[in-house]
Amino acid sequence: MERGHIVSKGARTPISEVSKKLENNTVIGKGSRWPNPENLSIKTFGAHFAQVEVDTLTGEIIVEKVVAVHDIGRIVNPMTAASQVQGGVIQALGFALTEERVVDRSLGRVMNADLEWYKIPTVLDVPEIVVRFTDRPDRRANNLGAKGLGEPPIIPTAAAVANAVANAIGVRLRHVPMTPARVLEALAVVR
Amino acid sequence: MSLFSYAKPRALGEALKLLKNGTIALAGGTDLVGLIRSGLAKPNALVDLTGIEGLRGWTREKGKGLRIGALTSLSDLETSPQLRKLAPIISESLRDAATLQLRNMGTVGGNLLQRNRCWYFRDEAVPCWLKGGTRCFAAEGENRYHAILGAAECVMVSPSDLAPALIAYDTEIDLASSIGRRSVKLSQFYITPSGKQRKEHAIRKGELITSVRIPEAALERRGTFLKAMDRKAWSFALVSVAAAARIKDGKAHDVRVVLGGVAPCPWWVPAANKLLDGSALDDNSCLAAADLILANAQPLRDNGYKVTLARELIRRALRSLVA
Repeated sequence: MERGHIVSKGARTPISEVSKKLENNTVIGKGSRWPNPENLSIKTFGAHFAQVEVDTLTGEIIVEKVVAVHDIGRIVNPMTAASQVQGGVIQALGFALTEERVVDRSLGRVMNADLEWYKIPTVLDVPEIVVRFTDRPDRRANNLGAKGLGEPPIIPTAAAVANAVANAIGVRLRHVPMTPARVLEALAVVR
Repeated sequence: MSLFSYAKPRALGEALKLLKNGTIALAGGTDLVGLIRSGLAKPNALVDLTGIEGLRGWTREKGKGLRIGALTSLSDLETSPQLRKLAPIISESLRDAATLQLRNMGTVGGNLLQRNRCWYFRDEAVPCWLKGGTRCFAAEGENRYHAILGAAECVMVSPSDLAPALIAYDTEIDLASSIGRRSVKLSQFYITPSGKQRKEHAIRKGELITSVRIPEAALERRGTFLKAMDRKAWSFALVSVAAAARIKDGKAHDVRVVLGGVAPCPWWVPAANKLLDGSALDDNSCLAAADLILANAQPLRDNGYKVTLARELIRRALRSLVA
């Protein structure tokens, strides 16, 4: 495939022409990018920002907004990339605020091995999420200039929320999830 | 799960005849199905009540209060605009109860009779006291969601959001069995499990809730319901507060404050209600009442935060009645 044309044995046919004649047939193409260079370490970069409101009398943390900015080289599919970041942020909000495995140490049993008490975020827990990419091809990474975006979106969110909470209430929480119980406990120490 | 038979009678009388030992009544099934699946309920027969007409919906007769059929779905109550005006605490209490799907299936009677959510109780492998064992595992174990007040041998908490709301309206419930009918105050219907009473409700064998009734006088009260959760939806209450009062010339009368999620029963302290009679519900009076309500609190290892939370929720709920 080359600039909107299918090229075969010297003939160039526009894709629109091919698709007209396609009927029930399927065109399958395969492609790959070059491997990463051996003499360079390829990294992605990102930064997350959280805006929170803390109810200091009930310990409730409301995450109002998360801004996630990533440099992953060229964006191949903007919607998939943005969805990946949103998904990472939402999972990380569970990590930051609600998700915790509770083990009874004398019984050796997980007490919340269910979705009733192991609390993942619901749709109402999801704040405004702003996703931005630098979208600059990293020419040294590979011929596409694209880099990975699997894990980066989940890594910084909980820390950003924790920093925002510390900034809001003047006391730092040292454990996640930052539940109402832990917020009230931290505030009780400084009051 | 063992085999059981299933019947779907069309009339209440027929259903009552079918309710005998080993038989369990099924309405929305949102609690019962889970109990059966986890081996906590072992019926040999289910009597499906959903075919019975006449137990659904609500009626208001001027001077005679409000009557709600036990099979009315929670979502019908929550979304009725007339009911929201008439008895706002009910719709407010249901707004954050479970999820929309569960509220569509769940019924008033089933909600009031739901069993507690203690994770030791719900774990089939744990022989806790309430299930006939020798001790409460939560008392010395993982107890962040458990009772700070009023517990005896078992530290589970009353899970219903609707029950505190209805108790704030002095609700009575009507019960029927093949032997006869009776009515009790909802506030007297819940049991603190203790001694020989290893159960949460004062329902008798073969008995069904047929309706709940709110007396006319209670409908004059303003009211609100606040619920603290550890996420924004689909959570049982960490603490919930139903507050009601008749407000006249800026002063509160017939005050009711009822808490959920803090004790094995919906929790209220008559002296606190009395303390607020004639009060303008200023911050100091509200907090004084809250302190009275929580005076005997005995938090466990992980649930001391509930005392702080309850105190603030009581204040906010009461303040909102005069706001």
